[in-house]
Amino acid sequence: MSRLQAFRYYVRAGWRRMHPPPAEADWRRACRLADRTPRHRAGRIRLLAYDLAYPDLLMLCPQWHDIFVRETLRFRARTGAPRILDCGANVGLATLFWKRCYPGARITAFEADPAIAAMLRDNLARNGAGDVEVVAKAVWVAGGTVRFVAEGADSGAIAGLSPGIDGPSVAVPAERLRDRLVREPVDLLKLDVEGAELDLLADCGGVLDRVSAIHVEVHDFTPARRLLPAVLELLDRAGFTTALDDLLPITWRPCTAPPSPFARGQACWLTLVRAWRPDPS
Amino acid sequence: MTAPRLAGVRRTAGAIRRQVWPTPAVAAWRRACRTAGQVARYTPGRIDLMGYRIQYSDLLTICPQWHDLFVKETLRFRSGRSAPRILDCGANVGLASLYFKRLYPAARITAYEADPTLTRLLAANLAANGAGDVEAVNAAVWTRSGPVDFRCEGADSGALDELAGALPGERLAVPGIRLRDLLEAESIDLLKLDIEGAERAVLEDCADVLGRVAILLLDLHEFEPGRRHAPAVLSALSAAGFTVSLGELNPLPWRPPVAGGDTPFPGAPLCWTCLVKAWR
Repeated sequence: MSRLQAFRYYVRAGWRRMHPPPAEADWRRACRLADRTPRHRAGRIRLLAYDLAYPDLLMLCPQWHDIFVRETLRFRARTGAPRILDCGANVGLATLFWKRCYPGARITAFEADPAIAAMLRDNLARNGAGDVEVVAKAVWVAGGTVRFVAEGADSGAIAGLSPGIDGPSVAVPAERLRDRLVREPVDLLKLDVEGAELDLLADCGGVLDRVSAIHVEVHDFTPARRLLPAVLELLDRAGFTTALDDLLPITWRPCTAPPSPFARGQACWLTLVRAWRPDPS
Repeated sequence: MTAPRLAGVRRTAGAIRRQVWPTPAVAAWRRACRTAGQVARYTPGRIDLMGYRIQYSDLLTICPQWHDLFVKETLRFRSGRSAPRILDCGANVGLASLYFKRLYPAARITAYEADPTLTRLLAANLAANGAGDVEAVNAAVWTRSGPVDFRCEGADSGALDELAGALPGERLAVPGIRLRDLLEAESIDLLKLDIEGAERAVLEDCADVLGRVAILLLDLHEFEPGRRHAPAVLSALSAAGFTVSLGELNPLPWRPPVAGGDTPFPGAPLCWTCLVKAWR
């Protein structure tokens, strides 16, 4: 960088810092507030024009940053009313974002944690997305009930799939994702299901051609059982083009790794995988 | 003062201290970046970095290499031996070999570089920086020996001509070397593979001799949306009994993807590199 370029760079950075876009300004405000709030205390906050209930403010901040500041879920639909399945909807930020992009979107939002599902329903109703179908169930490879570790914020998972989280183990109803896909084609499938993603995608083998695009968070929390290689291979075989993004080492959760020769080896991490069908032309 | 506010002040103070008193590696990196901003791309030259006298073909590509190797130390590894056997495939001008020599002065390293011009710089850099015992070989690591066509991009992106997405550059026939032959000949403590898209074919060729490699550091290059390497590469490594870990995912927004650039996700990077670490 030349001196002039460096000068320009810092002036611009300073300007952006002082005049952030509204979504970013609200993110900063939420972070400052989260710094002063004990973890896992439920509350409500206004961010942009949204009035949002949350179970834990610190968890809401990175969600807001990813979805409304960085817009990682941005998606170009072929119609004005895309059919979207939001699996692992948490308090509904992703669904609200898509509703903002496509007011006509037909969305079904799944959330397994009963307390969070209630907040999800309230948030959607309060923020002009009352037409979204909320399903208070875990998406899984079978119907019936499953044991779910209700961590209470953003890490609740089906028992046995996500090591190192604390919370009461509750029985929650489950719905088989495959059945949904058999019933109707889907424009966008979002999976943020804390370790269940590989089992779910594997169970949907043969019906994945009914999905146009997939946005999946891959949670590699068990070094002995890596999900990413299998997820990529499965999507590849199902005819999707894939792109990796946002590799996030997980340092704040216990990660039992086999001894590694690397001082800086990240044994547990989170990756965003986007998959889509290549243009037939 | 509340605890979070104190933590915030500490963080800021630490950032200012690091900015004002950088470590020698960071100071060298900053100086290289500043100089690179003032010289035209692809201007060969020489720079002193932290006691190393480095000849380069393009300073701008030295900067991120230096930062990864000497600032972030992304290739740092522990070996049970004091003289580990290392193959540095895609050695460029030799920073990785110099770094390995710094970790293990007795390391027995062979460094392969396909671009003949870069190989000359590599040999000179090794000799000038106390690593004269590292063998510098002008060869493209590939699935067969004998001459192969190589596109000499001139900096850090030269690649085999037959690979999809090779950047423009002078096309030269360079000696090819089959990695499989090397692995059959001896056991390797560390295999570093940064071969610009050839890694998938090479690893598939070596599938049943990968047991002779203890640690693998692999730069995975994804330039082709319609044909990703990651599934095959990661499966091959798992099948060979490696535990894998991913890091350093770097999107390459400036690089034109090979076909298949249509995506419904405007934010999705189509080309990227990723560091795969594999061990037993």
